[in-house]
Amino acid sequence: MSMNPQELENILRLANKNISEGVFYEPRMYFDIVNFTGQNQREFGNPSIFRNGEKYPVRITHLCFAMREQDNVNQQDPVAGDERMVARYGLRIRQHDSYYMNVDFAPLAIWQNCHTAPVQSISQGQSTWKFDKPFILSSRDTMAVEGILEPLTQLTPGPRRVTVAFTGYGLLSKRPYFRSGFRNLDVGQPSQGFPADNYRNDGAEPIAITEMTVFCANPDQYQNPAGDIRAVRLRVRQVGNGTNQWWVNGPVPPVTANPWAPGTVWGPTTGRAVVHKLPREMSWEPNEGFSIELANLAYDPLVPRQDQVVISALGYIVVT
Amino acid sequence: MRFRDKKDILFEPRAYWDVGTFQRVDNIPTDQDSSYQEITFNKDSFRNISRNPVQLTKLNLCSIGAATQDALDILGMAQFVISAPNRQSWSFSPLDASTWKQDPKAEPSMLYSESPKASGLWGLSRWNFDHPFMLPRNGVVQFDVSGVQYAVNPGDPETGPGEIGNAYYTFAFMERGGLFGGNARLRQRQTIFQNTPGGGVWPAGNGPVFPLYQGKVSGPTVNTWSPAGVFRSKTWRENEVTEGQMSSAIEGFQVLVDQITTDDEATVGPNTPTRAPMSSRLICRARTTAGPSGEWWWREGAPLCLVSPDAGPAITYKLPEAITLEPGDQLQIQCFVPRVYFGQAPDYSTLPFNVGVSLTGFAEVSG
Repeated sequence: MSMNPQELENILRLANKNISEGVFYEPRMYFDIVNFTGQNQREFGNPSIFRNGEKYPVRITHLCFAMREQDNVNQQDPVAGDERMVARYGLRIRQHDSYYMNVDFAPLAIWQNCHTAPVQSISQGQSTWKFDKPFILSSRDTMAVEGILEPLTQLTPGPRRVTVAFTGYGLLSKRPYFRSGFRNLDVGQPSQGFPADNYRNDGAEPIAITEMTVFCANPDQYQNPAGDIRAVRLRVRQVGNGTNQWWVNGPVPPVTANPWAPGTVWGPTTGRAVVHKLPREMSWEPNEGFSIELANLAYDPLVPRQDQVVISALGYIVVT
Repeated sequence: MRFRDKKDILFEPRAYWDVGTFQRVDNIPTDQDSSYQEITFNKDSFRNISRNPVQLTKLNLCSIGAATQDALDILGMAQFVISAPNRQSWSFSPLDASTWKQDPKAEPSMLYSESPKASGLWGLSRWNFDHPFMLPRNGVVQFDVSGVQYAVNPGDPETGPGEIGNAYYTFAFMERGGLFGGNARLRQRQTIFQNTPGGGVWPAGNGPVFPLYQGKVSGPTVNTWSPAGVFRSKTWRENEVTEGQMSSAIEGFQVLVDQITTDDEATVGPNTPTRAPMSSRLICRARTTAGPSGEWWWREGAPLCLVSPDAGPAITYKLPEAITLEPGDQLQIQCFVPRVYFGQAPDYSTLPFNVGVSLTGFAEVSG
């Protein structure tokens, strides 16, 4: 016998209540890059990515989607990775034998339900994430930030200034705190750590960090200040208290690990990604998660297209 | 506000809309005092002809029917007077729209992107209803979207001759329920059918405007709604996740228009203007079967952008307080648009622009 939707709602509400409030919270992001080679209309995500591999519950609040910037090797039209192609790739999510948002593939762009557009002058270069639950940067703690540029030959050569900033307030004084650091990154370089000194809490009070901003400038930043957030990839973790785990869980290809999340999907609050706020926070107990499946909705075997789609799920871990 | 706490009230989306025209000018106006043109919209378009009171929460303003975005840019300078004839005026002088706080609804800019002339990043139109409406078991929403004339002015040297590639739309209605707390009733991607240029099938026309809007005499014909643009009841029911046991709470709809190919093929030169989203040229209608009232949610044929207050090209203002229209009440809306010189565009300079205005909100239907 089927369950009445109201009963289902009540059970889910009770289940969510069973997760007690945490001692502290830390942001988490799970992302996958799904590669369409032009041979297949449908692709599955890596089954080990969208899964809680830690020993505390995770709550997922947002999904972010974007096209990964690529070299247009096959002279495709529109170019490979054209960000408007989110209208032509569809997604469905499966968890506990149920599909979301539909059993059919819903185009990525139609998932958008949050206003995230920043002003025009920085629209190309910035991503901001306002955390649902602030995390605590205790005294003497700092942040580890690593960045790398996408290996694109079509990028304008020259170092790009990548800035990562955290803002928050003092738990005792309530004064605002700004912690910002930058690194000049170049194509072909291995990943670079950002200077930890810039993020250290040398004060006498813990800081509640409420949001994080990433900006990737162009090499010719004085001529073109808009930047290009699609060129950079990042990962972040807290050093000191907290779990000390990287916030990001991504694909690990067989040859080279590439655990840095594309800059676009760091922007559930402002940025260029399609952002979907889940109607109800999704709770993942340890080892729980969902699987994703994508389809090229405009698939034409006579005109095969190559694109890479970035799918991410963002939220926070509840350390109990 | 009156009935919001009463449990026997059902809510249903409502919009009142109209389209007016203004002329381009051939020379740069010098006298600022006389540089505004007045458009008085048809009062009957803003009359509550149903038996239920309607609350209007947002005002939407958009250029209608234009193929390029230059007409959109001046609307931020428009002025408004909203009044109830012979009863009440919401202001004594025209209000500058630019002095109102706009609702954030824009897509990320394409200006510095690889496709700076594209109509937009996502091509999305959305309405999140002020109140979800309860659709009874086996109820269906009828939602139809028109075709469009693709090759706007095929002889135009700016866009180039010949046909312009296909565009596509996808519809989704968002509802509560299911394991995830929500679900989308999805009408899968369909090719937007092409109205014959000059064929007279509304809203197709021969230029960057809706000619038939000008006289306000025409309405949709039977040919306006093709099967490609219809959210079929069979599809609606197939998307059921609550297994038809209870009412569904419908929270809003989204229409995604994929016009990437048409944008790219039309913007071939450095001097071509930025393309306008097709949602200002598509028209639509909606109602429920076995729903709260069964009435059309708006007068048939509203441009999609005018019923999309939460995403799309229209400029949207949230009213400081909802305007309530009792049955039989009506509003009068006057719009003042600056006379703007659009430069040398010989093919278009003599043609008028269309401006659409709408008020969106909800009806309170006694259960």
